[in-house]
Amino acid sequence: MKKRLLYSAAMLCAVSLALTSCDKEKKQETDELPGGKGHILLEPTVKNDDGTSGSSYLIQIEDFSSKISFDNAIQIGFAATFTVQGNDIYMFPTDMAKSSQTLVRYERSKDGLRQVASKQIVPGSSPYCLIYVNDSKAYIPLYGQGNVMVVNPKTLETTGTINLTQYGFSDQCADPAMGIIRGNYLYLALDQIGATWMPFENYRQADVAIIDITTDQVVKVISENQTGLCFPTRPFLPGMIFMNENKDIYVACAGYFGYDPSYLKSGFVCIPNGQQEFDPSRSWDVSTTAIEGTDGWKPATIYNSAYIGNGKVLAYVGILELNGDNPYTARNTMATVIDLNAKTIAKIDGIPYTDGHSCSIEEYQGKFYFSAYGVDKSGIFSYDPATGAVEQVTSCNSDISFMHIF
Amino acid sequence: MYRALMTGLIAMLSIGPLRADDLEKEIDIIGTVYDVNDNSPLAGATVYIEELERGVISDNEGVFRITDIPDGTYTLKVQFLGYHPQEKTVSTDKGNRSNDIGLKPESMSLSEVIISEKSQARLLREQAMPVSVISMQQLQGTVSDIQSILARTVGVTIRASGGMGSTSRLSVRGLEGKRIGFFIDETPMADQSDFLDLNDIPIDMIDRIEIYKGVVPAKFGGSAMGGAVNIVIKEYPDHYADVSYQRESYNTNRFQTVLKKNDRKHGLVYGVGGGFNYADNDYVMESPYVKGLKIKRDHDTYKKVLMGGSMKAHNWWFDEVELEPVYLRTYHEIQGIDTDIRHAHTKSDGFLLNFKLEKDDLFLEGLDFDMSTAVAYTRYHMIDTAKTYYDWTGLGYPTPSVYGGEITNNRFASDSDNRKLTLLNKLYIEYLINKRNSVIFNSVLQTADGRPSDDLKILSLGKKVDFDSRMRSWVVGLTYDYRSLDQRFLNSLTGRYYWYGMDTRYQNVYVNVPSEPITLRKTSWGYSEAMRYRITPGLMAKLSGGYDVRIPAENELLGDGATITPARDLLPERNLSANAGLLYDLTGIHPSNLQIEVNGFYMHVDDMIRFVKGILGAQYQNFGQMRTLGVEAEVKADMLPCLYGYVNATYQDLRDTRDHEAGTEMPNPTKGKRMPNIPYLMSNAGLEFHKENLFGGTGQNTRLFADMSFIEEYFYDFELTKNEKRRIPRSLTFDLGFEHSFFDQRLYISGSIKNVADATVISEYNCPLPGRTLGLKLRYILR
Repeated sequence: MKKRLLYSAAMLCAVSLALTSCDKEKKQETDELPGGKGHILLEPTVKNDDGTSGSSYLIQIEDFSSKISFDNAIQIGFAATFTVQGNDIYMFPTDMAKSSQTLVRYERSKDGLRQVASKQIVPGSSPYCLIYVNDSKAYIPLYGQGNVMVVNPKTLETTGTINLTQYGFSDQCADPAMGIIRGNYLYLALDQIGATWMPFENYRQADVAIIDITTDQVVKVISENQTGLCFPTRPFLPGMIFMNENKDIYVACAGYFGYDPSYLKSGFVCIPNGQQEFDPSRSWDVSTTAIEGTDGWKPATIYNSAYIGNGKVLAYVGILELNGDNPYTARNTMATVIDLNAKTIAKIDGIPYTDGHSCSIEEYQGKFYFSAYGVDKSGIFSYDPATGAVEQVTSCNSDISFMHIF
Repeated sequence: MYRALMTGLIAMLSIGPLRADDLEKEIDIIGTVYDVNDNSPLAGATVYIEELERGVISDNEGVFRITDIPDGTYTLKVQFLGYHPQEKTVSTDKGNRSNDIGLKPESMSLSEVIISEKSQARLLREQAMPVSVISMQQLQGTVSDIQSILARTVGVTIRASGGMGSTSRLSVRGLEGKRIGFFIDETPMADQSDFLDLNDIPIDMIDRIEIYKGVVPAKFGGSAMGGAVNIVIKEYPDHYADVSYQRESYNTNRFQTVLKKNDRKHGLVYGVGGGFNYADNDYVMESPYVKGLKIKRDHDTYKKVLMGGSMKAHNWWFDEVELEPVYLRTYHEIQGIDTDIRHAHTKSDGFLLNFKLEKDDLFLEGLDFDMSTAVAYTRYHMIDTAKTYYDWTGLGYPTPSVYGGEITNNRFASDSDNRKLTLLNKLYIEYLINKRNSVIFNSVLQTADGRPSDDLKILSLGKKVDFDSRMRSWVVGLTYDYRSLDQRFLNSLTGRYYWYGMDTRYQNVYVNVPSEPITLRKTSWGYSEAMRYRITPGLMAKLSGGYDVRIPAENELLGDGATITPARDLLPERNLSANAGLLYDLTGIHPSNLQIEVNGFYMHVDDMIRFVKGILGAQYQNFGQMRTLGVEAEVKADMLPCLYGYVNATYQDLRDTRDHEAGTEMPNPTKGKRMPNIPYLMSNAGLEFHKENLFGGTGQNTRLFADMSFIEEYFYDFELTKNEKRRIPRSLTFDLGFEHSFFDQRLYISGSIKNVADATVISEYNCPLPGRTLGLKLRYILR
């Protein structure tokens, strides 16, 4: 009997210790920030076979040699879009993909991500990016409503609205996309798309709204309607509107994304420094220029771009000859170097043709990094503009829709 | 009709659950059925008590026993093919009295005797396939709808998105949607499922529901894969009227009626029936998009009118000729969840004409012929013309298109008039070679011609994207059935050939190139094998397997012209499956009527067709490869003479088995992961108490029900991270119900409380279902 009591007591202690231990472990787990540790922020996307659905995650990794593990990743809306400002990460909801309709601000550290603010948005209003002015002011274009929300970027409180509905062609939505601030003005590209999500056939031009950031008033909307370039900037890619060393603004136009073989015009339009009008003489339709290093292939669209100085732009361009049956999964995207001055385009060898979900381009310590999801290799590829050397630095079995290196 | 009735009874009694009736005295009616000419016993005769709607089949010695009969006087009906039916009035006040009944052969020729033997084989062939049957007694008088009843069946889940009239999917062992065949009296209805929902069928018209899992019998024609639900409509007495009205929470109303008249003199049976369903579905739900926001659904009104008639002739050259016209009209508002939709709605009309011919011994003894042809003409309208859409704070915004369109992200207005003409011919020819062997030829031919029209959508998009379509399909099968003479061993081997073709046009919505023609012609082969061995009278082992193909349905390939985009590259899905099971069945052998059934199953599905909602719209897609391993178990019994209970559980492990992403050498990151958005662990249990004249009086019967349903939490996506957010939460619900009948089961009053604890239940991601629901039903039967 005594033996049984001792045994029972021992068991009780063991169970209590185990429970205490479990509690501690659980607490430690709870204290651990989600999103993983490191300084490289990634959005891996596991898509379904159709390419228009699937699931996406947000994860930090220590360095490029790290294995990408989803264990502590934060699940987010499919192909959600991001803006990074300092250590603030703004995540925008996805349309029609069963995600929360909430704009979230994460504050990141090397230990993980902490959600510090959120904002409910109107479903269908489609915010894709934040354009930072200062710590108390930022703009969030509403692609689906044709307005611009003025917010406090820290609290995400709305402080005003800029109404652009009057500038919509054929409808009340001018589809405000990505913008850039030069001086006291926001230059905000307007995509002017129709119900098919493509530019109107009878409105093939590039519009940019110029907004005074001190008054939040629209100064005017300027148009480049001579070259037929349209769809200025994809609304979540900041690299598609940039300034060169002379503060000339260049806007990359995607056109019809290479879907329409009868209309492939795409390229760059320019608003020179000191002017609030386009200079059509500096517009460049890249679809007429053969890409060096290929069998005469020409760009059918620009999917993403990043200005690297000296008139050179790294760009992912779409190739008509690589289009498959499914535009969302076809490996039709080629990494290139575009020289705005020399008007040349050269293929970057070593980076696989990728699909439209992996076309991020980021700079870090003088090198540029491309995400790519090829047929036989995928992950992150570094490119040294000085030497032209390419190296695969990270492997990943899924798309990487977004990346940022802190 | 007799054969159908007997078949039904066999299914109910030998396979389906049987509950002991409520008794004050336990009286059995026993007897022998015999041939009056030579006094030989007749095995397989149907003995049926009309007043109780209960019956049994006589055994090999012609003996029958109907147990636990309440006090009273009853009409015993005895039927056997090849013999004139007999009726006999029996009374229980004389105790367990023997009632021997002699039947007179319809003809005394030798050939007729042979036919009689073959007729017996006809009855027994039905037992070759494993099937779960929900009997009339489980349906009768309850306020549950069909889906709620199906959801309590082992291995079955219902994926609903709202209240009455909402989109719902039936899932059998994780396979769902159109691959689960939906039949009414063996006529395929899957292609009409956009117009006719399971719940549209008046529950009081149903004799039983058969649920086939895995291998589907040849008689269903091969358009199902992985399972089938067959709703068997009742056969009625000579004069019959049934009227019921049911009211539930959220202003849900169901009115149903059936009138039947049997003109025995001319061998004609006439019937008319119909129903009107109306629901506001105005329950309060918590927004899945805005934390803490409660939304009262105020744009989900559903109306449905269903009218049908039938005329059957039994004395013509064919054993049975049946003509059934059906008309359906539906109106359904579209409830917004992310935004406050205020105007968008759908309307549809359907006209259906079904013509059926049956004849046994066609030109040749033992050659049975069964053919049905159904023609349906449907019109479907999607109306989405509002030019302002609203958020849940009441603020309005202009729609992206100037033509309107408040359904989020559609970016186009719609005012469609989509017309479709479908024809379905099902031919079933069986030749009974002898008592042991038979062969079956089966053919299902379907045509569908669609004529979509939506000028407003064309205006909005600037182009036409929906085109006339023509689809043809033919599935033909040959089955060989073997039965050992002692009926211990049954085997069924089927081979099938599939052909389908489609002609339409495709317009890429993004580009301004001309539409291109689409012409598809595809063929495939499949087979299935099912066997059963009765080890002892109560213990049976089952083994089945097959390689089934399901050709894509027309709207899976072509979309619906509204929210589902075309998928012209969709491939047929193929399923390699195996099922092994044991059934211990004491029904009719022991007073407990104990049934214990355990099944293990395996499936490997290639190119599974999945419904996926993407950025730009929903679409049906093929999913490379998937493997399922599962086990299901069920126990049911009359625990006491007045208490019936059941419990079942299913574990189904569906895993992604793709090695690479389609068309690449990239390793598949989700290989080995559980398939998303499919429940994997569920269980049901229930009790039913029944007592006659519980509150005194005579001719009354009371039943009390309690049911429990559990579904474990599962993920909307592949589970790749411990922080997976998109989950369909665990649900545990309890339902209570009662039924009280008066005047010897002529007047019924029943009521129910579904989801007693008002638990939050979601079966489709982000689509909250109603909470606690109260219902009351009044039913009167005149016979």
